[in-house]
Amino acid sequence: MDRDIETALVARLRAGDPDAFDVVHDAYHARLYNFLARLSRRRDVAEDLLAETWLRLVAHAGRLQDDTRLGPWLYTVARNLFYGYCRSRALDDASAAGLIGLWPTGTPRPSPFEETAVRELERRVERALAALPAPAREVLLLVGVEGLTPAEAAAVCGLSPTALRQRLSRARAMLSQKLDSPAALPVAAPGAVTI
Amino acid sequence: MSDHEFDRDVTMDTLSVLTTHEPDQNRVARTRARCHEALSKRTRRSPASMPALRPDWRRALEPAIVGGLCAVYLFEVLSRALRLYRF
Repeated sequence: MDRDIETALVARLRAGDPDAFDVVHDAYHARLYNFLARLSRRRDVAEDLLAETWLRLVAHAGRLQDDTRLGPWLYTVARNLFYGYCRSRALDDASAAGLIGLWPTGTPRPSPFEETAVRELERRVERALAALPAPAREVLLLVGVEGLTPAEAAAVCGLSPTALRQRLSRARAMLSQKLDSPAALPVAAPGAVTI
Repeated sequence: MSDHEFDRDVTMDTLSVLTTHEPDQNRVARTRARCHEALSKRTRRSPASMPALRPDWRRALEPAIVGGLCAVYLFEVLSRALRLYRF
């Protein structure tokens, strides 16, 4: 998003302009949803956290600074909500990785994810990502999928740029290893969440 | 290795195959409506906190009145000091 446009949007959000909210919402809601869905590996959780992220933006809109970067701000809130959810549910990330395929779909209708995730490479990448620990997954998603700069991703994760680079390097190696040995990937059951 | 090369290698490029999925549109619409409602509530609750809504004449008049009172006060202080010095 262009910096001048972003600054103007922040000012309008501070003034409570719903049109400004719509612009930000349209720009980020799908990206945030995909980030949260791949981070949490559950669509229903991702939708809950997404709604809460937008409500947090509205609640804090009056206190946004002039130089607030909306993208990193939203990803930071979404990430913190996800880890808050993990803490509240005492979710053990290491053991949960083996449960991919057992998660409920959350809705009875056919999943748009199953409908669209037809390509084998995409499925492999989705499964490889899902098998990584959350800290590795989040840096790959932020830098590799969402296109944040390493500095922005470091700010979102609360890390120094050096630590972010180290984590990214390790995550990349883990992803590469998972992709090279598909046998090690969890097999999705029919009707499983593949995102 | 440059920053760009570090962040964009073959492994990272495989992430580009991931497609973008949309959340449930009914849920999105409900959330958007809640946010609009919260924004309008906040705007109604604190109209005085929005300086842009203050009338122009008031913004111009306030500094003039304060400046005038300060000038009168300073004039009085100086004139009294001069009177004390002379007598």
